[in-house]
Amino acid sequence: MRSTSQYKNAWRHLLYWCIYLVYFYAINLLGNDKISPITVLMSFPYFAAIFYIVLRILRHYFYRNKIKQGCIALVCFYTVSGAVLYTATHNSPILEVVYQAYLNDAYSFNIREFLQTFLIMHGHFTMLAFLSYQYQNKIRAIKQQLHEIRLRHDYEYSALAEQISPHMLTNLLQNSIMKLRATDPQIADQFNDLYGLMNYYTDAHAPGSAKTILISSEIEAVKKYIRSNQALSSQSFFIKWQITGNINRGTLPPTSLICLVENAIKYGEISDKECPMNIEIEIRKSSLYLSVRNKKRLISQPPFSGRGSGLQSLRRRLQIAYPKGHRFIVRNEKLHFVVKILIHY
Amino acid sequence: MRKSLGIIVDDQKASIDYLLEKLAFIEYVDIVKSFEEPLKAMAFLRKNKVDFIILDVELGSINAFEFLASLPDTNLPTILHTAHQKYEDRGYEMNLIDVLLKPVSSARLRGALRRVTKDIYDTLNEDRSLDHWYDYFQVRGPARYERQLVWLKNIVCFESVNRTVIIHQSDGCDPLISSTPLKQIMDRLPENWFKQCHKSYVFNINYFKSYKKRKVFLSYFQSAVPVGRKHSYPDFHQFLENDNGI
Repeated sequence: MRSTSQYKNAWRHLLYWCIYLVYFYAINLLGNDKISPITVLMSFPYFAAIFYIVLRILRHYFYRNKIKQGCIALVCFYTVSGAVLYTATHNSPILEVVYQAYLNDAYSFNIREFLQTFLIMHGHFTMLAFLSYQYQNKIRAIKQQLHEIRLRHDYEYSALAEQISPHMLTNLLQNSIMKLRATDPQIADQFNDLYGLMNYYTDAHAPGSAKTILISSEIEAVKKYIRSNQALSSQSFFIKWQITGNINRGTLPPTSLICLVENAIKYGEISDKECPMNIEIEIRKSSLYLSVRNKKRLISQPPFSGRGSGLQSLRRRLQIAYPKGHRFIVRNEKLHFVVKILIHY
Repeated sequence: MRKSLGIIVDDQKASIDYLLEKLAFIEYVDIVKSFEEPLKAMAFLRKNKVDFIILDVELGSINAFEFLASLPDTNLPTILHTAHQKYEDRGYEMNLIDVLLKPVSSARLRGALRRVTKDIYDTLNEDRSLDHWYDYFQVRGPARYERQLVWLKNIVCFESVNRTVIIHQSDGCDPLISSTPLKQIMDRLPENWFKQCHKSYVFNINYFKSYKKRKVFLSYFQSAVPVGRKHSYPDFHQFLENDNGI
């Protein structure tokens, strides 16, 4: 299927040919008032054939530095074209149809005149093809240069951006934490957790960032998240962790588990000691199983449920990161809300 | 055993205090002085000898590279301390022992100090966990080579191809291409976690799946990894015999 730019290119070529044919007609009309536009139009296929075949030979051979093969191809083409021209100009029915008005039956073949005609036609369109080829090469080189400049600018921009924020933020945070540690160590630890979470979220959502992350890093971030939320809440959180397998093997999209825990904290009941939130993670050799189960909040305790956008986004991220093997199950039971994820890798 | 003497140069007092707090628990390392002003540090180093320096990258009016270039002893073992996950590779030799990301953990600091001298190496135990291990690899960037932080726990394997090393990670991103030779990379890897099974392959044992017909299969790595002769890679074969218990 042709792209928009290919259509535009074709229209551009057509326009140039129209302009050329008008010019050709006008030039010949000055010397021969019997020439008609139909004659000019009927000659157009031969003109175009010379132009595009020579251009094709230049692109296919000379661009790839196959000079010898290119020259042989050109010689072959000119030979064939010359033969066609000779045949057409000597007792050819085609010529009679197209150029009837100009034919002189008494005219005999003259090699010099034939060569002159041949060279004028082929030289003319060969030069045009050569100029077109050079122009396209120039455009290609400029586009390549612009692309490299753009890449360099992007690199310089992100390098500059990195130079400003991490150093300043780190120094500010570190300064605050060291001062707080002397007066309020608990607040200092909370600052530390918040800084770690902030970095985690920023890294997870930066352009070009990793699509997946080790479960060990996610667990560490979730624990920081829970601690931070616990500090804000007047009630205690009860969470039961069950982790088996090597947490430095399994991966999942970053902030996946945070999303599920966040939902449980926002919309679930996790302050019931008898019914804690259950986070189960099992890392096997070729798969990761994750389950988050929490008690549902009573209807009288808003907010009862969210719009589900977090889960939809997580579902989509799993589809992108693990297109070949994953399962995402959401179960809204009578008393509990359960989300299960199974990833094959 | 003689203590290794070092200095800290950082324009932020809080960073210095943070490092001193971490270093207080590390034996056989003594910080003789710390400086917030790089010029004072330069003057000190002209008259005094130390075993290593922990140096912040941004020192106000100058940067770490300019600071190092001005020293009489350009071979002073240096641990760079930075908040950046990448920095431009200067392309010339600097005696950088390690690069630490702020805020550095105690485990990672110990890992860096182990590289200062052999004496400390033998004394400080290597941390058993891979959690705190990262290194700045020289990788091909969009415009030029740069030093980029890579967490070792994310590395599935190193593959040596035509004088470059391809770093395959488990994060779903394109592999990184490094110009550092594989032998040099191996010297910096914790041997508990990385095994060489072939002259061109070093893998992270966390991602080991199975071994079959002289090929190793890894998670997050499509191709089978070939295995060299047993006498060439005894460490790897020992790992196999131990039932690859992790």
